[in-house]
Amino acid sequence: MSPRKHDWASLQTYLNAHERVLRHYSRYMDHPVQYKHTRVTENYLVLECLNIMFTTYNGTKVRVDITKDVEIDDSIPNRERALTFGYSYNANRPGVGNLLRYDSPDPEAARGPSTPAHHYFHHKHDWSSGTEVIVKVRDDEWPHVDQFFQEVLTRL
Amino acid sequence: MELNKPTKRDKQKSAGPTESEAGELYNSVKSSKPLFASNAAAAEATSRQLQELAEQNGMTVTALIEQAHTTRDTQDYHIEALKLERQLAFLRR
Repeated sequence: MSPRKHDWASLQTYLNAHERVLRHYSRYMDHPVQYKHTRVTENYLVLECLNIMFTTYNGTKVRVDITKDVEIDDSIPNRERALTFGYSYNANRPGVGNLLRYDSPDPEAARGPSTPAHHYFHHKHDWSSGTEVIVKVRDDEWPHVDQFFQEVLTRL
Repeated sequence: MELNKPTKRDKQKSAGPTESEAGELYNSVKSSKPLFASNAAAAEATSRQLQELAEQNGMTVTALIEQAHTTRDTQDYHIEALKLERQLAFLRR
């Protein structure tokens, strides 16, 4: 059985990977950035990296905002594990508007009769053609942050 | 692919954390204290934050969330609203 793309990982591996991705892509940023973190509860961590200004391969200036909700399993002492519970990756061209956004599905507890259909799934809003297109993303195929950065740099 | 072959200039321009700083995020998270002792307390505070954010922008929470999801002109307060919405959902599940 092949490993899942998004699965529990050690907290250290998870955070180091995020840090490494920012470092790797910093050459395309106007200024270096770092994740801001908020430990909301013992088992809930929020990571944010806002206002990342990229210059894409096409020379386009794009602002990217990343927020991730991370569940922390601390049931084994000193072996904390992390799993992304929710996320939003937004790419915006200043003065023009949004170009792309990936969103996690609404958690079941937050769904109601007025919940839009696409909120039941991982999805991508794509305005790059000038008209908004919403695309469903399969459960284990939503992008890692580096894949999103790569999409921004190559497509926009 | 260009990414696999950074130029010398690219390497010089890279201004992110150095190798010696790798792990800084982990160490910072490990040493941080939770803001709330329980999901219930955190949910209550998050709900209040969302309400205040909506009021600051002259909207109801429902209208703010709706706008945050649908606008093409995303502003910082929309990003904050979406974050708080997900936070509430996590804490209440």
